[in-house]
Amino acid sequence: MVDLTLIDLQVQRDGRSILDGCNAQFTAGRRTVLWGRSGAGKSTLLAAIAGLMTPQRGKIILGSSVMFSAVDRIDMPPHRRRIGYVFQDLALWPHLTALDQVHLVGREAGLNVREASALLESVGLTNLALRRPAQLSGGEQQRLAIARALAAKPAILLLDEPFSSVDRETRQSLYELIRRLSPEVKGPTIYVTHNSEDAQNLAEDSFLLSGGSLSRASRPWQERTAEN
Amino acid sequence: MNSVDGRRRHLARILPFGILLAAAASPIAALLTRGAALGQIDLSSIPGTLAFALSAAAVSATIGSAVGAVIGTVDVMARRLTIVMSVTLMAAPPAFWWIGLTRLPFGIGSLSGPASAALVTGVTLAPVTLLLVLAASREIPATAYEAARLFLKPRRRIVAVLFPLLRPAVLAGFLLTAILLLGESEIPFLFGFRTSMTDIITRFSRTFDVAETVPLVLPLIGTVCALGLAMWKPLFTVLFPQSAGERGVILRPASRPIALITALLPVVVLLSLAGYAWATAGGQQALTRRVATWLPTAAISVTEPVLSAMVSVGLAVLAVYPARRVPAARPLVVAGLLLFCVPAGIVAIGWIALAQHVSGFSVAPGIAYVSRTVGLCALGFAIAYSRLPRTLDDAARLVPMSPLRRAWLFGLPLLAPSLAATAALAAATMLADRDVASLLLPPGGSRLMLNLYLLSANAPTAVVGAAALLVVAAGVVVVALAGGLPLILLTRSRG
Repeated sequence: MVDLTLIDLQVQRDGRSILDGCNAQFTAGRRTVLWGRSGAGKSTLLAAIAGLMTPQRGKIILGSSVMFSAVDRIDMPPHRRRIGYVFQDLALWPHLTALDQVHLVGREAGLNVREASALLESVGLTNLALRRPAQLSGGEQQRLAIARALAAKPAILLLDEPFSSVDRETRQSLYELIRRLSPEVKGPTIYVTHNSEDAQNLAEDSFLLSGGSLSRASRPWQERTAEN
Repeated sequence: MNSVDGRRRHLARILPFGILLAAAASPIAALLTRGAALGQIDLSSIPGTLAFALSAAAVSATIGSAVGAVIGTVDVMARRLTIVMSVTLMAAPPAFWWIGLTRLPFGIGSLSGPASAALVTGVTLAPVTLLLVLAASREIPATAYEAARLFLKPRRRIVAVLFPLLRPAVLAGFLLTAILLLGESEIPFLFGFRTSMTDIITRFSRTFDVAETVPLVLPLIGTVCALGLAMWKPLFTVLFPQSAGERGVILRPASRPIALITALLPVVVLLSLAGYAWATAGGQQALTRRVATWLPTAAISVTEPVLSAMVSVGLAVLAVYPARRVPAARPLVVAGLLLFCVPAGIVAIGWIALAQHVSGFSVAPGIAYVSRTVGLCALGFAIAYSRLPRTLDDAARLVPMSPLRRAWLFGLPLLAPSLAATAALAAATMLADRDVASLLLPPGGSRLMLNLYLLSANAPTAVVGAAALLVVAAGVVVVALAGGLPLILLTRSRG
């Protein structure tokens, strides 16, 4: 089990600081909700952890492995960071079948076709393995994105508001799926949202992202609900 | 409104476009009609022509897709300049660049045969595929490629995600290049081998009988149409966006060896121009008087393509604008594309056939240029319109004024940059032409590109260099004028 540590992380976009001096420790084996308003920099933080965006300052450490350090000029390529990522728009490859998406990602981790099929079954996509994303419903696409994220047996699972466009019933089943599958991840599962229902259903820990910095907070979504 | 009324209205809207294309195709129809009586088909040169065109297109698609994939996915130094320099290769025919390379002090001018020609033309036409691959890379959803960066190693990312998503662009680039090469005549002459187009021009020059060329023209047009029909679907997949939203690969910094790949095409441009400059440096004094005699030719060589491109774009806009929202116009856009794919030399011979059939009037090259490029301009308009948010047009339709005024005030200004680019491309193809000028100009008539080819055969090397540099200068002026005029005309203050 490995924790994820962020030290003094600064990320700029177009010369403007989105994150400034972020410090946090995400505990292994737990689901942490990252709460913040729209535009607070939640997705930017996930992109920085995944290596899809290069911070200007700070360190990102997984267990004892330094994934990024500005001072030491370490910047591990995204595909070596062992990260499962469910994108906000899911980012499924339009030309590949469900099975191809999962098998292609999992192959590096030794996942064979049978195991890829089993993974699809575990997220409820039995009999849909040979369909392309455009042939799946919204909820099925979410499940496929989760299966793809887990295919390479990631050390960290990042979810960037993936359920923002599905109905309530589908959401409930997806919460259940995340609760069931996230313990399989060796490190933390980080769920970005500004939806209190998502947070309520998934959070074991929570952080508030505000003004470019992170702080541990106990159920920050309840404050907002109370304010409302 | 019932469905019959709706169909009638749609038909009325696409009718001007149909009439324009029919008029543009009339010389080809006249040519084929004249030769149909002979009832012969000469297939002897088709295998060699196809072998040359397809092998050169394969080289071109390989280089173009590799360079395009790099420029489309990583942030290389001086990216825009690299793209502009690479695309410059398309502003002149392959023979122009090759003649420049042969003037360099180190000897690469001894190459001959179809294989060498395929290599040379493959490199110089690589920007065709490059541009399509760049366009396709801008249609890849950003996060889909980010996901590939995250989940897959570089080699697997390229093989399993990038190239499958770029496949339509590579295929369209390959086929479009092959089609352009089916009409190529100068490179085969320079490298000493025959193709259908060289045979057509040779036979016509010997007999001046248009009907004699038809047995050769017919299979060539058939081949062009077959490749064109295979091309339109992948091409339209690239050119007409499938959906809206944040799109395009997010560029990441490149490693130096990868960035070096992108320098290949600019280096070819610079080497060729250096060859001409080197050649010119030898005889500056003798050149001054000679260049002065070329100035009238330079003036007409600039004016003709600019005016023809303006007419071509203007006609295309007038004909296609009413049909812009009619789905049935799409097959006509394909037909326009096919019309552009017919080699320029065949269009010129077609105009001669039509002129002989009617009353023996002479046809100005500009008319042939317009008839060939009007389909290209219609395609340019359709692409530009498809990329506009539909709501902009809807909002304009709510304004109470005549459709013509509405188009002038709201529709066309939004399309101005694309129409300018289309006009510049059409004008560049006209300036680069040799076949139409050599077939349609009256005795004594001259154009810069035609002169360059004639001079390259036997004139002193300094003269060839000077003629080429004059072509380059004319090319810059032509592209600037043809691209600038629509912008000025369509975006000037409407107050």
